[in-house]
Amino acid sequence: MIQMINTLSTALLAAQDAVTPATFWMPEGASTVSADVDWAFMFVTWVSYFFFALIVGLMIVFVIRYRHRKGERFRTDGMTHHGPLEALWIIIPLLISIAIFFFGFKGYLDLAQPPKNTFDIEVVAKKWQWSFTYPNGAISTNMDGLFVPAGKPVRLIMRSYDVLHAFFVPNFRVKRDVVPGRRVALWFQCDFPTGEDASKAYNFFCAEYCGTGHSNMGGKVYVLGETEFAEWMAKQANWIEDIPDDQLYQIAGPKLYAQCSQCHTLDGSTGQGPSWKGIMDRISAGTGKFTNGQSYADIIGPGKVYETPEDYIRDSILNPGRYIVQTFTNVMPTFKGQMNERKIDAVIGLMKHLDQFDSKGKLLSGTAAK
Amino acid sequence: MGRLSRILHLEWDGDTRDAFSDSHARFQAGRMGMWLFLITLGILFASTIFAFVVVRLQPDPATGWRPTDEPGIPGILLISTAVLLASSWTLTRASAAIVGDQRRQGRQWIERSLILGSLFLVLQAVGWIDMWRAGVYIDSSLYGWTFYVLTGLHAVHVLGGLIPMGVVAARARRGTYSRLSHSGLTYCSMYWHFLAGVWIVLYLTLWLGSM
Amino acid sequence: MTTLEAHKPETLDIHASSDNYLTHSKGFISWACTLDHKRIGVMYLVGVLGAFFVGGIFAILVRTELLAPGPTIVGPFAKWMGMDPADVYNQWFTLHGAIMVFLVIIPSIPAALGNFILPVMLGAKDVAFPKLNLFSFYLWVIGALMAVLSLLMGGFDTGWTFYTPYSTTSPAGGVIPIVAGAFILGFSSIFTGMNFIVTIHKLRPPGMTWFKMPLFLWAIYSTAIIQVLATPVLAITLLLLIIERTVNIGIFNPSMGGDPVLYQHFFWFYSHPAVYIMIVPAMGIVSELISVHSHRHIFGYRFIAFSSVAIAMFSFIVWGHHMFTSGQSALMNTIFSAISFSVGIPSAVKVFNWTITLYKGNISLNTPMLYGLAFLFLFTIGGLTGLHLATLSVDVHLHDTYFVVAHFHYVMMGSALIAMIGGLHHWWPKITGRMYNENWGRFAWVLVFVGFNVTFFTQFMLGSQGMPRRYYDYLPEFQTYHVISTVGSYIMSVGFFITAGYLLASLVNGKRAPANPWGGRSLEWQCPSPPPHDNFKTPPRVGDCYDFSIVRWSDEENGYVVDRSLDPSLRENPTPAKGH
Repeated sequence: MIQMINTLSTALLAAQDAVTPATFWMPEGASTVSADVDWAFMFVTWVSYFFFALIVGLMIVFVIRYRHRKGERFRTDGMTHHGPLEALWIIIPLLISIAIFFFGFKGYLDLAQPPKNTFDIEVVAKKWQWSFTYPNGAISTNMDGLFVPAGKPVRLIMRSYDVLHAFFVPNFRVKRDVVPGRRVALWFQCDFPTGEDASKAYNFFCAEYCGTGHSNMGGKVYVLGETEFAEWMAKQANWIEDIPDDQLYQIAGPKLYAQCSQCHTLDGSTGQGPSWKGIMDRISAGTGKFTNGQSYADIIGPGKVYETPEDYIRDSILNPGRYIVQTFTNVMPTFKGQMNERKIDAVIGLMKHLDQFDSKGKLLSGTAAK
Repeated sequence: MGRLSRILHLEWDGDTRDAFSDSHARFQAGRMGMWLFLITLGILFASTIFAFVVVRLQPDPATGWRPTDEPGIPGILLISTAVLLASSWTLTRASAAIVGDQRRQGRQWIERSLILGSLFLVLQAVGWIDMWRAGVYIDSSLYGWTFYVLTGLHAVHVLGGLIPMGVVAARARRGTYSRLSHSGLTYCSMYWHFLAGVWIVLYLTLWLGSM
Repeated sequence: MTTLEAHKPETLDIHASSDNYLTHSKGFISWACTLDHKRIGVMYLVGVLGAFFVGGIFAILVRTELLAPGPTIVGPFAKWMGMDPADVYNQWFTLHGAIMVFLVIIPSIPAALGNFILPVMLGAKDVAFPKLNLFSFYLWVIGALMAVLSLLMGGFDTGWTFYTPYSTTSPAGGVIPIVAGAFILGFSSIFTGMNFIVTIHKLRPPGMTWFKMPLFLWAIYSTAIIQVLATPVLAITLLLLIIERTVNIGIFNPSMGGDPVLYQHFFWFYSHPAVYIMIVPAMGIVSELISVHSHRHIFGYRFIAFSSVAIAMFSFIVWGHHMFTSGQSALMNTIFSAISFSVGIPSAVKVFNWTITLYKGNISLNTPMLYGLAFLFLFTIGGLTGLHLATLSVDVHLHDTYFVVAHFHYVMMGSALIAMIGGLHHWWPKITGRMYNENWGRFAWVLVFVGFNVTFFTQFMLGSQGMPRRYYDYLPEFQTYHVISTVGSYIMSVGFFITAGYLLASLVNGKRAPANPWGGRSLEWQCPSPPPHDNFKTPPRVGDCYDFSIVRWSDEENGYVVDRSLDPSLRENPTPAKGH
């Protein structure tokens, strides 16, 4: 029987050459597993239709047929037990359950086991942003969207910096909780490119409740053809190079700050790390202390560890554990490999011109692109 | 009884709503209720120990389970274990004495149990101070956290047992208990033996876990 | 009173006298310090219905906010409380969930109706430990006050599940009081369960054998077992959570070697069985409603009784199906999926048995019966959609979407709460001694039933189309569904307000209730309405509580009577007949 079900479901699932259209129940299905999931869903749904109709139908018929009118004597000819009937309605649901379990299990094996040679994207979730790092170092956030190659199995290797999140793409029928302290993986394959058109791209959501920004912690998944994707990835990795030098910090600063905003505020309030408000003044004043007892003035200046304040900030980005400002702890990861000199320049530029940005790091409109 | 006292005893209208036909039936029901209560507490402690084992078996790779500068379980807990077991034993003697209609000995054994039980708590507190002095705090590592939380959880239950045991001792002093009627003592002993058993498992868990 | 003589040998003392449990004593202390299970049941009922009103207000606020994407009505609240609009919404849905689960549904049937009905139905004077019973009630009150305290301290936005590490790091000020409140409510539930188990074991009167017990008592018994065995796990989990939040380190905190998924395992190890704490007593009520109002022997008594116990047992080994996407191993997911289907079988057995009970019955469509039939309808949908969620690959898509929201509202509200309201109507004459207006009852039922389905059936589509749950803002394509759902919730609310209206009105001008208005056969219908202080003046005669052949309408009583002269074998033989 299992053989038969296997053949049947394979036949039904074969030759998927386009996205499955949206139905009353399910949205458009675009991944290699979606047809299988939908088939299992519809199987259970039809089982449900049948039993619902059976029970509610019988209920209505009996209620009409056996209405009691006041004053009539009660009829007592209804049977009170019937062994074979009980056995029947234990065994039939049991068999149906086993079949459903089997379909679900079979589909789940595909979801749980990624094929070999996946295209890996590193995903970081934190309140309330997703950031995606591609193999060539390119980075995009949920504001930009997740870009994946068509026709290739894609694996997202995900971790969370704070609380539980979950990555969910309804059109791909995939979902995975992102648990802090663990690296988890989710894979999918979509064979049909959407291009860079937001109206055709698929939605992704955060599905595990994570607080204030939970309902806006989503974006679009763009599926690109092989060459388009390679081009996009190269362009994305070098985005910083395309910005004119005189607008570097104004354009690149806010984008880069998004990666720092979890720990460093711009309004002076304390986060996991020191606020950037007035940071250049503090360093110039030289009085701030480190956990090892030294002060800014002890390490910054001609002939000291760092020639200039910029040198100190640059090294704090690349080797954050070297000097820890008092009352803070060594929790910042290194940005070596992610931040080149041009990006560091942009961040330092932002720190020096905080008056041109609002407290969320957005460029104030009056100062844009002079 | 005064009005307030009757209200406090919930017998203000003289009706205890006693649904049992005789005191023996009432006692059997009480014992069954006590068993259910102990099963409940047993599950509470078992799940705590289970949680301990789970986190113990997947320690932080960076720091390991017990930080190298933090000492193992304080040795004084071995003494407190012996004291708790002794109090459990004296309580069995108390029951035996009451059943044998030796009320005076019964009273003395209950009082000894009460003293040993209190001593156990004092020794636990000494153990906490030892750990504290050695620099193990509740928020310094999971090792310290589990030590304080598990022993603390047990200590709260011991404290919760000493209060009824004090009532039982007072009643024994008044001569309330007889060969045929001593249900309060029985309930109290059931709870106390249970706590002694839980402590042994808890102590072994903490001790094995600290290695 | 002259007609009484003719029936006296058969009907016991069924006439309300001046001394019933309500009039037995007067004054505040007579209620606050009462040990009478009936008064404690009534106090629970008042508390639970009050909490239901508050939880319902939050539900309406949530549904109204979701009428359109973006902020709809949160604006003024956000300004007033100095919060982000999204946080206001997050607090609303959290409050709705926590109040409805911990303060309403879990205590509603066992603690409120169960307390009142169980001893009377069993034929006992009271529960085994009346003082413990009162203590449980005060624990419930303290738990409710903790919820209020939590609101005063800044509320909480963790979701009713208190998932770590969000709950240990959330900036909301009221997390610790509400978690402590849930901890205390847990002990209220444990003590109630202990009390009921011992009562059923030790206080059954002569003749009340296990298989003579009404199915409601089997259900309460199964529920009590779950309460006693599962709730301590919740208690310790919440306690560890409080400690963790206080000292910023703990076993659920990943930053120092703890494991947030462990919290989920512990939480669901309680909270899945807790689903059955809510639904099993509801099933017990439905067994009574369907049998009594069809005046027809329940079909498959033993199968229904044992399926309650089977559900209680299975409930402990299926918790992992809440965590298919959380990162437990594929093997665990497979095992939990397989076992989860098994819990569907005893539920299906019950549904089939209730349906066949209607066959060749004598069905009166009284309001309680309408709620019983609504339960059958809604529980069938709730149960069948459970199959979708137990199916591994399908659940990955549906998990944490509105499909889940719809499913558990069909089970928790459409089944558990609807059965509770059915039971409330069924036993209202017994509790208050008054009849409510049947026509208003049926009218309100239509509104509740239609409104419920409009509200929640829509949410199945919403979820399978991909709308995640706990979303304050959403994509415009989901709006149509949300609007329909919100309109449904308004219809339902009107139904509930009408219900509250005619029930309260019946206290003032309702007709006096006879001892047995529906034709029931179990023992509570053989004592007057409302019952006297001691329940039974003479020990009741225990018979087959589902044998309606000797129940007949009596114009003199304006209610039904058990007339043993209808059964010749009983007239000659004073001992009740053995089961069929």
